Amino acid sequence: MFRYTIFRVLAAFPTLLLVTILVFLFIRLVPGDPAAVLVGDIQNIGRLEEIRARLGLDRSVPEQFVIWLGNILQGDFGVSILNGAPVLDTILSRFAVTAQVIFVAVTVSTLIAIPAGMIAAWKQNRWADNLIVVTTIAAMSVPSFWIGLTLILIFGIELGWLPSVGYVSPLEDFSRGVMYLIMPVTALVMGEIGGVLRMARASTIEVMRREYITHARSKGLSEGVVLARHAFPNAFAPTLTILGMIIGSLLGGAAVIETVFTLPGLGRLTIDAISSRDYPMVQGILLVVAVIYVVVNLITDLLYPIFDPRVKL
Amino acid sequence: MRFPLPRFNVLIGALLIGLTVIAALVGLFAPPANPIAIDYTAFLAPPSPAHPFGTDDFGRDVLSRVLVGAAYSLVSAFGTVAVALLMGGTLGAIAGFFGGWVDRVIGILTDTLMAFPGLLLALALISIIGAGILPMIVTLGVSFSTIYIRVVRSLVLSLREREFVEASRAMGNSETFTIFRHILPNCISSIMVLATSTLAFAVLAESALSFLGLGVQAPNPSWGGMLADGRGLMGQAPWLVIFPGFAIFLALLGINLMGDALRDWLDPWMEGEA
Amino acid sequence: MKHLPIVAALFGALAAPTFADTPRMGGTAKVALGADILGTQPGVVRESGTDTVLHHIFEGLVAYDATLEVQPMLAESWEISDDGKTYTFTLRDDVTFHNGQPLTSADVKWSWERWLDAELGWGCTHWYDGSEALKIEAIETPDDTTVVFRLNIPSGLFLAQMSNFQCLPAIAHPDSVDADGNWVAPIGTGPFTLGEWEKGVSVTLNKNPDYAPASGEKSGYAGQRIAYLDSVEFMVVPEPATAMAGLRAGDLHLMVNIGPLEETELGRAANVEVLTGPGLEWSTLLVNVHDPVMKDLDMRLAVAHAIDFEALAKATTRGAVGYNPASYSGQSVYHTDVQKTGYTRDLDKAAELLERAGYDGTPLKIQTSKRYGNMFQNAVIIQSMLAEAGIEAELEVLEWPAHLDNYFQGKFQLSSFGYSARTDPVMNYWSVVGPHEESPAYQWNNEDAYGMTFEAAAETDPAKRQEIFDKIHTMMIEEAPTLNLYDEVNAAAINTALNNYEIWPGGKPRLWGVWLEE
Repeated sequence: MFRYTIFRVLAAFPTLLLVTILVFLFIRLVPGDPAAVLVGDIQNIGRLEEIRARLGLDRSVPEQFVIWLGNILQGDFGVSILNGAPVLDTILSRFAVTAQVIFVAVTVSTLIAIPAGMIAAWKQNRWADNLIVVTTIAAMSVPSFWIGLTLILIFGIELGWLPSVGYVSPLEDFSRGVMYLIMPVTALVMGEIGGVLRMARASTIEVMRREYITHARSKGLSEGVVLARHAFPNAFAPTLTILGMIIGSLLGGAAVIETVFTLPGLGRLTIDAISSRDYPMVQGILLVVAVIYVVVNLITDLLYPIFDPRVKL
Repeated sequence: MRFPLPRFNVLIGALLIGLTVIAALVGLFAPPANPIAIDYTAFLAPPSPAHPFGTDDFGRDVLSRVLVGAAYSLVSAFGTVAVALLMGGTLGAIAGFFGGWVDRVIGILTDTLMAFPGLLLALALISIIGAGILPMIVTLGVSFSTIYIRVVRSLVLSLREREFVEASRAMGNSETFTIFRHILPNCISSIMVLATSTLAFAVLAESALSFLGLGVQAPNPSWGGMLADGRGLMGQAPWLVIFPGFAIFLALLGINLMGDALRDWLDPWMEGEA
Repeated sequence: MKHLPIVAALFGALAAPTFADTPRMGGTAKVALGADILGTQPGVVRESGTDTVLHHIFEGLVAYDATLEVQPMLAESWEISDDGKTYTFTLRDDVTFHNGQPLTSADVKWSWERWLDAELGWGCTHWYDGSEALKIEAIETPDDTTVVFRLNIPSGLFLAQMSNFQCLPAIAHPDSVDADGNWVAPIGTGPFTLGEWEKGVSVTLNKNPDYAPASGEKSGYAGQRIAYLDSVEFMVVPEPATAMAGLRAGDLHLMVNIGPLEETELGRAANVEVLTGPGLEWSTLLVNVHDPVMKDLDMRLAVAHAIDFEALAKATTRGAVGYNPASYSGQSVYHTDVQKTGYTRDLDKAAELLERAGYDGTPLKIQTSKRYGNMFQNAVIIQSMLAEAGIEAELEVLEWPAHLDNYFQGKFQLSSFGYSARTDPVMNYWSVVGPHEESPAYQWNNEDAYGMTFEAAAETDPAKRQEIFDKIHTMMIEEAPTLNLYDEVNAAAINTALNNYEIWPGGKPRLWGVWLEE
């Protein structure tokens, strides 16, 4: 276990290097020039070359990469092309916002989805199951920005209970901050719950057909005990993988939700950075996101044997 | 004794999928109106006999756009699943079964792919092959394949220690035979769920891209794109989102019901029971 | 509570005049910004939203009024020498900076020299350093309230450029920078001071209690800038649908740059009012004269005669404006009958021209993007109009930075584009005409026309300028290097709690002279 962990941590380095190289190349492959974005609607054409030179974009791509990587190794992520803000500080403060929302949303989704999925599996093809299946499909048919905008229409406008725009950090002002988080968290839960629930349902169905469940039932154990003691641990493993993936992808930024609810999170930052061709910011974000993935996946993998004792790492 | 297939669900599922396919065919070959023809005298016209689903903000016939959108959405969704399944399933099975350095290399690849934003991949691909359905399918397929890699890998990991797999090995069967005969069929249930979820995400992925202001979509109408474009007009023209929204719901419901049935039918454990 | 809006509307109609005329002090107005501001140093790292915010903190010597005439702002008056090369500004003596220091001519000189320093990267140095024509040779300060600008040539543009929205030569206090010359805090003279800038969330401006307003009624960026509000919070709301909801919920008071569809949508809400008026931004269809197909004049004219410009303008703006064939706004005093002459749709003529051009039916490609809604709408409608004329065209929907980059590099065949507000026809033409070797972004590579723009720039007699602009316009219609479409509409939506908000041709929002109801 310890050796495995060490190995995984070491294995992260090739991943990170690969990510940085790919991102560096791809963002430059996408047409669009940061200098053009900066010059914008002033027709000062002479400035284009000057800006490119100042940003070091007139150098060759390998040269730019070596310079950037050298700085990263010294802990210098550089500054945003767009507004000169330090890249790492910006990413960390945006990440804090995303992490708050994700943490609450994933906890709530898991607490609802796993029991619901197991109930659906247990009552397979009966009305409770059909209801749950149809509801999750309905939820999956709606884009998350629709859920978000509808929530704003109901709770922001019609009822007037919650603020429709803006953001206050709950770390600064808890009671006000919470008001700004209710809708984004709800929207995220509604968007993510379907996948988790369906996975929990499917893996429970699969497990329920196994011999040891039949065996447990034949011993006269109550259905509740069978579910909790025998079915749950086995059904949880694949669901855990999905959860890990969801957390990983959401921590990378829930761009749509952050856009709808004006949250200054990492996803919104990524979109803004890509769409203004803010190269240092995009590169920095991707490096940080890659680190997050590696960590989340490592944790998921280390948790795996706990839920599925047959797996040896 | 249960029927292996819950008949009612299968019936509904087949009906809905059939409807979607017919809609797509009608949209492609005999749409009631030209889905890209503009009528500047009929902007945002409400549903009427001439335009049963109303018209959009360019005066285009929404019914025809929903029908054509069916073809576009179906092809892009199934294409995405095919790419993800092929790439993810294979890599995941290989990683889980062989373990060791093979697993590690695939792990590095997966982490890289996951950390890489689909958006950037989409933009880069589009700049290389041009906007259209193909870059969308490749982008989404590659992005989703990471889920398949990890899920299939973890399933295979837990399966390869099972008695019947060890038995197969002990009988001297080749590794490939073991994977295909004994391991993959046992993953079918989870993969089916993944596939149906992927279909849902793929149908909606374009609406998310469009929503985020990356107007990189092809000019053809798609359900997801229609939902994104109509979002600011809910008050004055609800038909812009209600009809494509319902189309998505019905198609996904059909796909899911059929998916469940297919899963039951393919599942080796069901055989034993029946 | 549901019936209240109706009652309020009835009541409001009767009682509004008495309430509306009495400003109420205090409160915080919330304004939607599509993206966070890029900095607090005017004209250096900027886009439109940044300009909007900083125009509340900073002022220049002069400013545009609502009729787009240049008026005094920090300068009380100015004199132009007979040779047109010396501008002498007299400063108001009652102005203080946000740090309490009085405004002096030294601050004006310091500010201008900062902006004109090539190292800083201020956006519009090219207007003043001789790279176009005009060069400021010296800025002199004979006494505390007098500033003299010495120019190399007479200019009909100098004051217009000084009043420009994008590159306001703001008068800042030297304490805005540290000892190394780095910008630390915006210390201006405006009616608002910078409060808190919470990055990615909002920028709050607070009322400047010691503000000394210029004389004259509020008009455009000129006249009195009296802050009734305690503060203004510019909130970052990237999604228009969210901003629309915020307006209806009363969490926002103002949203600008809304499109015609949003106008209709918001017009349905009882507590939201939509204001519209003509603007200075203009939509165009760029035709790349260096493209192998479009370099043929007959081909360009065929496209021009295939489009029904009037119907296009009416369709995208929902009837608000009509066709404007000129490269500058119909609001300009230089926009006369000549500038109203453009192309009329004539499908027979288009067919004839196509034949003469030897068009082989290869589909044309129209580039467009979706960040600015009407670029996409124009493209879709043009595509369908061309189809009616037998010209097949494909849309290439790009992402805005790619679309913009292609514009700068001349990499397109047709491009549905638009230009931001420019206030003098010369400045408009300088965005369009110029030597292609210098930049492919110059759509019209015509030496004569380019030369004429410099004549107009140096000319101060309006009649003579008109003559030049007429000639340029006629030439442009003949050569069709760009097909101008229409003036974009300025539209803003306000929550009815905000009083006395007005729009003006300049389009920039102003949060002075407005107040909030309780």
